[in-house]
Amino acid sequence: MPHLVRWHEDYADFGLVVIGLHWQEAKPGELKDRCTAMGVRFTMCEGGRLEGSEASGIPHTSLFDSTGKLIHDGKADGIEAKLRLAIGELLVAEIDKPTRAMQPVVEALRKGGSPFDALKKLNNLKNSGERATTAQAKALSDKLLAGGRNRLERVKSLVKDDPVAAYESASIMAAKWKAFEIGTKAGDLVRTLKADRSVMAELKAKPTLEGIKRLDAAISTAAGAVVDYQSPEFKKKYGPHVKELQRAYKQMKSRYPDARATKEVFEIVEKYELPAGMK
Amino acid sequence: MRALLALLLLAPLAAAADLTIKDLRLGTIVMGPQVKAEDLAGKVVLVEGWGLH
Repeated sequence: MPHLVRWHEDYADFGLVVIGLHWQEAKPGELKDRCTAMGVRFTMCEGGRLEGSEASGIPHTSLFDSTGKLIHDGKADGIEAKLRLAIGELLVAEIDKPTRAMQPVVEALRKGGSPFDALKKLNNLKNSGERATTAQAKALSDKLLAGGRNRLERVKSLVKDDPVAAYESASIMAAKWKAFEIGTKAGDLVRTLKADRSVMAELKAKPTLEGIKRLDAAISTAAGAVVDYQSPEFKKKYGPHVKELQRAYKQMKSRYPDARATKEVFEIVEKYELPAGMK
Repeated sequence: MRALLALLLLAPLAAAADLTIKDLRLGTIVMGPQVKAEDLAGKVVLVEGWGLH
């Protein structure tokens, strides 16, 4: 799942749509909560399938190019290169005959090069003084910027109803687009949202969440992959650590009851069987 | 016989190669953008079947 989160963040602004299909049983709300904790911002479905695919087992990855053709169906290994090529083809599809000055930029994108690098070069070409090059550079630049501009507008529209989600998305955009106007605007939004009460609570709760994640990971590593958290052996060996986790959760629940970080901590600690009244 | 065997072995590959985005059936969307089939036209689409457990 982390690879999908990264690809979505890296390429969604340039024409990639990521969709997750959950193929297992899950408790009500479990899928959404776990995906939120993993930073999923793309479309996630309960079920779904590619009719006619030979898919067997999970994970199973299918990639379609911008013409709708299936170009990969199987394991995700090595798929990022195909992904970049397909996005590059999509971005330059409307340029029939690039001018000589434009050719290196178009070729780089077609070979899966970074759209951010292309944008930097296009900024110079837009002022080349040669009419055809200027027009092509402007058109391609607008196409490369369109996704980021649209996303920033969507993030702004989230501010009122979900400032934490807006803050998280704006922070990512500020980092990804830092050399461009979109990044500057996203950065301004981040600074404004830092004054929001729910965002402040989230930011204060985050360090505790990270500490709990580290302790949970240490327990899991030491106890092994297959472990009965309720067994007397486990409780004897890791009881003090589990109590520490539970204490931290109780503190978060009282200080930041509505924070997402608190919900995420609950997901982590509930497997250790929380005492009555702590849920 | 060899030709028949080759045909049988290649059949699933050929079937997969003929698939398009129109063959994609989405389940119930539980989070993220409410994507519809028409939103996928002209986009590069990555779909992953996976499980929490």
